[in-house]
Amino acid sequence: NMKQDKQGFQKYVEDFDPYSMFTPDQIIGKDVRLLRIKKEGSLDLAVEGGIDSPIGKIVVSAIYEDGAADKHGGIVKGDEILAVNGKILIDSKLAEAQATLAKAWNMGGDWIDLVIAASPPKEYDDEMTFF
Amino acid sequence: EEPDEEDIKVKPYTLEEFSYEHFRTPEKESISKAVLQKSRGHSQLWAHSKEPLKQPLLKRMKLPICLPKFLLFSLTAHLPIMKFMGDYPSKQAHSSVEVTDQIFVPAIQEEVLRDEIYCQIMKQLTENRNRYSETKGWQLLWLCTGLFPPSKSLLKHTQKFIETRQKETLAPGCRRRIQTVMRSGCRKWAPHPVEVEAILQNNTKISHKIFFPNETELTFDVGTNTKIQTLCQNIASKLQLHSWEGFSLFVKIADKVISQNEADYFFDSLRQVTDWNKRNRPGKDGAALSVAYEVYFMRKLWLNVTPGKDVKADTIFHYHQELPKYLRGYHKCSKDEAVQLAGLIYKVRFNNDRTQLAAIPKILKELVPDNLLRAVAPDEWKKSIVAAYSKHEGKTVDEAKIAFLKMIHRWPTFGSAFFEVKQASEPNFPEIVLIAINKQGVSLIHQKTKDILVVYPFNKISNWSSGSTYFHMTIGNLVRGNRLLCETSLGYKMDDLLTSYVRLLMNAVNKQKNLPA
Repeated sequence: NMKQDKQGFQKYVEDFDPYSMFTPDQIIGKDVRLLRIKKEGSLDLAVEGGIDSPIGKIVVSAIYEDGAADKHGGIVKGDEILAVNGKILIDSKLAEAQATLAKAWNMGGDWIDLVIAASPPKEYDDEMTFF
Repeated sequence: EEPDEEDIKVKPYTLEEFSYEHFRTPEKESISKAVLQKSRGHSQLWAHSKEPLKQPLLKRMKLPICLPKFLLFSLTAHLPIMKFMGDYPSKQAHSSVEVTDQIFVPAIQEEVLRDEIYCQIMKQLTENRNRYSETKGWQLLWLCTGLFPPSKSLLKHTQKFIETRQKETLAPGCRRRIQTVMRSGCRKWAPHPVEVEAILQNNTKISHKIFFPNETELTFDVGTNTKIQTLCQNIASKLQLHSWEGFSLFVKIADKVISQNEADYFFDSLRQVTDWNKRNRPGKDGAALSVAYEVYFMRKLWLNVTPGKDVKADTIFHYHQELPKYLRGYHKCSKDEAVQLAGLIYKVRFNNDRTQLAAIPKILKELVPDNLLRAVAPDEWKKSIVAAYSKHEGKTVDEAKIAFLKMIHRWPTFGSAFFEVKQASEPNFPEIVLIAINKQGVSLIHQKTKDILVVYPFNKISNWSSGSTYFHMTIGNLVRGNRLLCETSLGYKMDDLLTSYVRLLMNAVNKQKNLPA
């Protein structure tokens, strides 16, 4: 079952309505999902981009091995982060987004809510590299 | 070992004189110990102590202007020094590099800490009765003198310290290394595991394997202060290449192939790559340094490459680097060309052995580009390839390699680094495109037809940047401009290639104008 992972909780929250948070043009063509990550250890997730960068959005640049994000399994490099605990990141600069993530992880509560736009499966090969 | 006359006469120099002006006062306990024991040296700050220091040696490390982190470091450096020398038991098993890192990394980063390290090492080498500990101390001094020199005020004392201990095997080398590092510049990274392992075996000569694209390898001497550029020159010279321009050393680690900066020290460059890899894939501390890597020497920039002009370069590098790209189907190649090229590839692989001809249908992937495999039935391929191959009986393998290169040299995509990307900036082009970076600039190619959609020459590219998930480029200016934004994991490589090509081309232009490079 794709939705369940080894720890027994679901990867994505069912019945999440993206239109309750975003306008249609904000999420057109995007595969929007809500996930809940249990606060255990470090989140171990790095982001890049931001509104003032060439890509204009907050994107996961790395998921570190054995961190909470890695263990959850529902978020990978390339996914766009749209919101953290309800705070929308669509117009955020990188530093703001990083601060929001850190704050959300370090404040009280057992979970962090991330709304992501899942990156589609790669239809090109960028693993091989020749000179 | 019998001390000879020479040793008895020359009293080994110590930091005693230096300590009067620069060291702090001894701790209370050591003063009373000195009173009780009345033994010269044992409780002196400038001589070997069995107890870890509780404060830094240098007075200036205690000044209020000195940041707390420096103090913390000075306290924590002495312990790893003692651990390395075997003077202090280590409860956990640490690799030697973990210990040398603790000693040297902060001093590399902060110049004010360097004298403290020198003083602490020389202190532990003074009146050290333990031969094992002394040997290890000299290994530490050897490593230290390869990284940075002592400051002006400490230099003379350090040199005298070393000069009056000439019977130590590493002493002459340490003296030389200080001269070298003063002349060619400090290292930017702490000793690489290869360097640490070498000196632990008392090897002062280090050699490193270098791999080549034709699946051969050679070993080269590499010193603590050998720069990448020097090693490149040595390799080119050994292989009898016309020039090493456009070639580079690369580190192949995990799934990445990263080129090394020619201005860097070889071991600094290695550390930078292995540490970068560690940061991008953090696992357990210390584990990443033991990740296997290989150093390759290859052509990076394909400027001024005319097949036939440098036979060694063609047969060791160019053929073997172009072949895999050719087989991936990146070029626009006709069936007839593919047949001719397959005949040459077979010749290179099997020379005059015709027994493998029957097996051609089974090894088609190694003879024909991926996108043409199904253009014709396997037996048809076999028939035509055999005919093409038969023309080359009189050629040598090297001649066949050059003939292959001469044929593909006609294509505009010869000598390219290719990237499959998802582009998001050109609505008129397909979503997935092939990007080629070569001497002409950056080309966008249709993935299926192999037609060139657009070529952006280097002089039109105004800006570029990359991240972990993208590569971005601006073409032209604000008034009449364009941009290229692609999703790719190889942004770092595109970025580096573009930077290198532009730099090389700028140097060439400036040379013509007689401007400095």
